[in-house]
Amino acid sequence: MMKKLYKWDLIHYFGQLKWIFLGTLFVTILSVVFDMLSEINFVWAMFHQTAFIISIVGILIGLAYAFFSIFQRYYHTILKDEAYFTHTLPLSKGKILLTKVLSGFTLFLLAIIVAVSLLIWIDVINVQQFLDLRQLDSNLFNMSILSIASMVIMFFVSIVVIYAALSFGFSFNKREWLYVFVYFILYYVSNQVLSMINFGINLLINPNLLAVDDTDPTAMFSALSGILIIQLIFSIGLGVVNYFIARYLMTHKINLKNG
Amino acid sequence: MLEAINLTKAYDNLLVLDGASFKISKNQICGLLGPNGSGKTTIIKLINDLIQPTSGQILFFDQKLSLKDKSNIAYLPEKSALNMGQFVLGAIKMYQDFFIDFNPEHAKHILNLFEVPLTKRLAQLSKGQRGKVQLALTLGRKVDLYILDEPLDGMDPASRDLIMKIVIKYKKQDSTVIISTHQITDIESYLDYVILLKKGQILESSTAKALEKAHNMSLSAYFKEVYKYDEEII
Repeated sequence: MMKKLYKWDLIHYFGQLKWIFLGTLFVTILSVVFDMLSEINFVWAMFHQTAFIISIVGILIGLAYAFFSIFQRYYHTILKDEAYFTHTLPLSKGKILLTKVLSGFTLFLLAIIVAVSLLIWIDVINVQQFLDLRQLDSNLFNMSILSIASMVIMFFVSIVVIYAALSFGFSFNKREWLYVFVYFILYYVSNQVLSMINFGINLLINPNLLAVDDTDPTAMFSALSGILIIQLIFSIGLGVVNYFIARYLMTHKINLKNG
Repeated sequence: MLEAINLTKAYDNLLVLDGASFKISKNQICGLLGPNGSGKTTIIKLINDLIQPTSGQILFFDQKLSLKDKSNIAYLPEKSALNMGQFVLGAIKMYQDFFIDFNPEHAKHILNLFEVPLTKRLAQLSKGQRGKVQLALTLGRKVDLYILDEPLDGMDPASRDLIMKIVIKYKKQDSTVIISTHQITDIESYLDYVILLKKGQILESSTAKALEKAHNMSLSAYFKEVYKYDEEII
């Protein structure tokens, strides 16, 4: 049943996002074609510039819309009218929530892969230059890889956090969006507290943290990677906590209303 | 088949269901009757695990209602629970995928009877037509318990009788149907069992015939008698 719920979530996402991605793909193809033609006649270069800009805008809008549609889907299928279907399926609340997290994350990953592929195609991202970085500065290259990995994990965590915030807000029967906002504030505060704890831990591990020589890339990488890794562990912990909060609220607090 | 034992539901300090107990046998059409705010939807939500009881429990085939029982209950919510961007045929396909007990031919046939186009998006249909799609999908399933929350709401008078006939014909054999409504005149002739609710409490629960006999009047007349307003307060 989880697989079916996951599959139908993806079918819905595909239906919702297909035109924006097909449109962007079309403009990107035009941009590439005009770029090739501009070598024959400079007039095509003007068309290329326009298509190039529209293509980048389309990719960014597509990404933002994909991210937004994850929460829109959660709102409709867990908290509003479609929830009357979802919650009557023979699935535990934990499994429903897990399916929603996985389908949302799958969409996000697919959207990122499509966006990055298109950006590589129109030469906004130069893969070769990035790979060359490994030879030029391995520390910076490793730092970049670590940053990308942590960004992906952070997006995964943020999906769970926003799900928990929506579930919290809609466990009240009034001023739901205000309570969603309150949840975000609480999350922000707890994140800041954890950042300070992270800093304290790093200071204990490396007492010279504040006196690191910023001209020494190895020392900089070592100092920053410690902070980044502990922050990542804290974020994953927050994600797990938020999953259980959302599951608890979904089981005990949500009172669906019609309309 | 379905038994509620001392079911109570309270939101903060507001008691919306107060110690409701009833027993519904199999192969019955049961009317959950009462005015708005009497606790009908609360009972339905509790049976469907959409909310948790403050106290009390529900038994299904003499066992505490569990997750696996959900596969044996088909629920028609008051408002369409379908994605409005979906095509009618897409919704049928989705039900077919989710529920092994779903008969798509029955659903399509019911929609043909209602003259609902299969190739339109749900958003393009009227409120009544959307309700009919949801009803066709619910009755397309072959389960032991059907729960229909206000199935006659927003339906034209001609459709109401047809709906009841379709419910009787397309439900699984020997299954039970719980219908929540305040439009008693349209369904009274179909009811085997009646649960009357008022302000979160069960006023009476017995067979329709016993109730009519005890009060020497039709069900709809008794309904009006029970829920009549006080002339003096107008």
